[in-house]
Amino acid sequence: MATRMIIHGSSSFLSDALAVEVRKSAILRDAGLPDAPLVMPRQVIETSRQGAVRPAARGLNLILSLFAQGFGRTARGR
Amino acid sequence: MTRKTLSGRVLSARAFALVTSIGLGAGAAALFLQFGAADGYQMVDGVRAALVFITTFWLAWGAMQSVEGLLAARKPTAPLATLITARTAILMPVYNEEPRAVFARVAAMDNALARLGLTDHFDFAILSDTQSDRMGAKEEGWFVRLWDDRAQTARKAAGETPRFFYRRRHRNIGRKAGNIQDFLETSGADYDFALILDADSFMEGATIAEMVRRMQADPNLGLLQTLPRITGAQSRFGRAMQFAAGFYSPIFARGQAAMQGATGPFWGHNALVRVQAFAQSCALPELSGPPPFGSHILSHDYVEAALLARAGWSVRVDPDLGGSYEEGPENMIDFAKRDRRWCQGNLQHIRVISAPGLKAWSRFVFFQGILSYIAPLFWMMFLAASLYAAATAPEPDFFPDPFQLFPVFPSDQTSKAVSVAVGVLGLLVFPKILILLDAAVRGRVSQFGGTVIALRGMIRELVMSSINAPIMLMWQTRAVLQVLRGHDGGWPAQSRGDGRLTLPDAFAAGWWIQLWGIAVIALTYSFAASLMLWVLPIGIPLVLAPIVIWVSSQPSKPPVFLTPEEISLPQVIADYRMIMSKWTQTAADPIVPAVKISA
Repeated sequence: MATRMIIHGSSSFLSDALAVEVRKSAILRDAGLPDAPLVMPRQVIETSRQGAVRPAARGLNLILSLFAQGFGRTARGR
Repeated sequence: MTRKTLSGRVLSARAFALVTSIGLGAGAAALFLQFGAADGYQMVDGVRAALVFITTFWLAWGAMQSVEGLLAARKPTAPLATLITARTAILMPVYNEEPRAVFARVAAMDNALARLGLTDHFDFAILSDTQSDRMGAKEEGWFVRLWDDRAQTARKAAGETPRFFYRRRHRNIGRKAGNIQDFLETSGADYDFALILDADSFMEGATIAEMVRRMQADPNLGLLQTLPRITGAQSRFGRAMQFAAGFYSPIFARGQAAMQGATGPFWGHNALVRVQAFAQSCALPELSGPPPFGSHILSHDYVEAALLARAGWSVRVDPDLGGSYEEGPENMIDFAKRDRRWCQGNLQHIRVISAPGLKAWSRFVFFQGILSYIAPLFWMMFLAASLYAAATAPEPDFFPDPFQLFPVFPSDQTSKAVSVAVGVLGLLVFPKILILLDAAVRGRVSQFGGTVIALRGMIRELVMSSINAPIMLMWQTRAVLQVLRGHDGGWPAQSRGDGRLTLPDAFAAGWWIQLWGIAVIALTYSFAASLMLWVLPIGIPLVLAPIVIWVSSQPSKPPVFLTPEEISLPQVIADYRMIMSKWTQTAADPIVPAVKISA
C-alpha cells in the first residue's frame, strides 16, 4: 500500500515536473528576442603603428626636453 | 547663436580648468625645486619636481571640476510634457548575477512605468551572458516567475506581443558591448531608443520618461547619460562611498558637463541611446594582439561615447536627472577587483587614443582615464625619490672656500615643502568644504540630515578616505604593473550582498600591503629618519591594511553617512524590496513545485 502510494506520488511529481518544463520551454520560446535586425558597421579605431608611434615619440621627446630646460632654468634662477 | 554661445562657454570652462591646473602644478613644482635644491641641485631634485608637477596638476584638475560645478548655472530644468511616441527597449545585461534580484528590479521598474501609464512604449530585454548552466537554469526559472508576475501569458492570449524578452548567449563574445550589439543586430530595428542598464541598476519611471522626451526633443542627441546614485550600501566602506557619491558627485558631474559640451561621457549604464546612432557608430572592433592591450575593448563605454561624438552625434550627461540608482562595492576588496578591471580597460585606451577622426576632447578623456590609473605610480616614484634624496643628501658645507672666515649657512627652504604639502592637502579637502558650504547655503544639506549630520559625514569620509588612500594606492600600483607586464585580469563577475569580510579574508588580501608598509617605515627610519613624520601617514595605514579592510567592511547604520534615499526611500526601490520579499516567500526554484512526500 505504502509502496503503491510512493510510486503514485513519484509519477505525479514527474508529470508535474514535465508539465513545468514544457511550460517553461513555451514561455522561453515566446520570450525570444523580436526579429528586427539592424546592421552595425564595424568601426575603424586602430591606425597603423608606424603612423601613430613616430609623431607620439617626437612629441614626447619635445615635452621632455622642454621640461628639462624649464627645471634647469628654475634651478639656476633660484 | 545659442550654439556659438554654448561653445564659447565650454571653451572658456576648459581653458580656465586647464590653465589653473597647469599653473598650480607648475607653482608647486617650482617651490619644491627650491626646497630640494637648497643643498645644491641634483638630478633627483629635478625628477621630484617633475613628479610634483604631474601629481599636483592631476589633483588640481579634479578640484577644478568641482569649482566649475559650483560656478555652473543651475537653473532647474522643467520636465517636458511632450507626448511619448518613441519605442524604447530597456536592456538589462546579466552576467552570472543573482537572478531573483535582477528580475525583481525589472518588475519594479515596470511598476514605475505602469504608474505613469507608459508601459506600451517600453519593452524589457534581459540579455544574459551567464556562462554557468546552473545559473542559467535559475535565470530561466526566475524569468518564468517574472513572466507570470507581469501577466504576459494573458497578454499573448489577447493577441498582443509580449513586453518581456529573455535571451542567453552561451559564448559571451565581446562581453557587455558584444551583448548589446547582439541585441541591436537581432532586434534593434524595432526600437527608436534603448535604455542600457546594469544588473544592479534602478531607474524611476518618471526619469526614464523624461529621458525619452529629451531625446525626442533633440534629434541630434545620440546618448543621454544620467548620474546614478549609489543605494543600498550597508557597510562602513559602502556607505561612505554612497554618501560621497550622493553629496559630491552631482557637483563634480556638473563641472564635467560644463567642460565637455556635446562630447560627454558614457558610463556603460543608466543611459539612453538612440538606436540608429549607436548602431551606425558603435560596433567595436577587436584590437589586434592579445590582452591586456589587444582583443576586446574592456572599457567599451568611453570608446562608444567617443565614436558617437566622432560621427557627429551629441553625447550629454544631464546631472539634473534624478531617479537613477545603482549599487556599489561593499568592501575594499570588491572595490579593488572592480578597479583592476577598470585599470586594464583604461590603460587599453592607449591603443584607442589615436583612433582617426576623434574629437580632441574625446582623446583628452582617454588621457584622463589613463592618467588616473598611472597617477599612483607617480606618487610611489615621488616617495621613492624623496627617500633616495634624503639618504644621499650631502652634508652641509659651512666653509665652501678654503680661506673663508665666516661660515655660510644653507638657506632653510623647508617652509616651501610645507607650503606644497599644505597646498596638496588643500586641493583634496577644499572642494569638499566648498561643496558643503554650497549645500548649506542652498539648503541641499537638509536632504542629508541637516548641516551637522552632513558635516559629520564629510569629516568621517575624509578620515576614511585618507586612511584608505595608501592601501588603494598599493592595489592600483599592482594593477598597473600587472597590466604593463601583460597580465590579463579577465572579466570577473561582481560580488553583491552585504560584503562583510572576516579578518582572515582581510588578511589574505592585505598581508603584502602590510609588508610593504613595514618595509617603507624601516627604510625611512634607517636611511632618512628626518622624513619619518612625512612617511607615517602613508606607512601606518599600510601596516594596518588587513585591519582597515576588515573594519571598513563591517555594518554601518544611519544617521552616519545619511543620504536622501535613506530619508525618503525612492518608490522604485521600495517596490523592488516588496517584490523581493514576495518572491522570497516562494520556493527556492520559482517554477518547480515543492516535493510532495508520499504517505
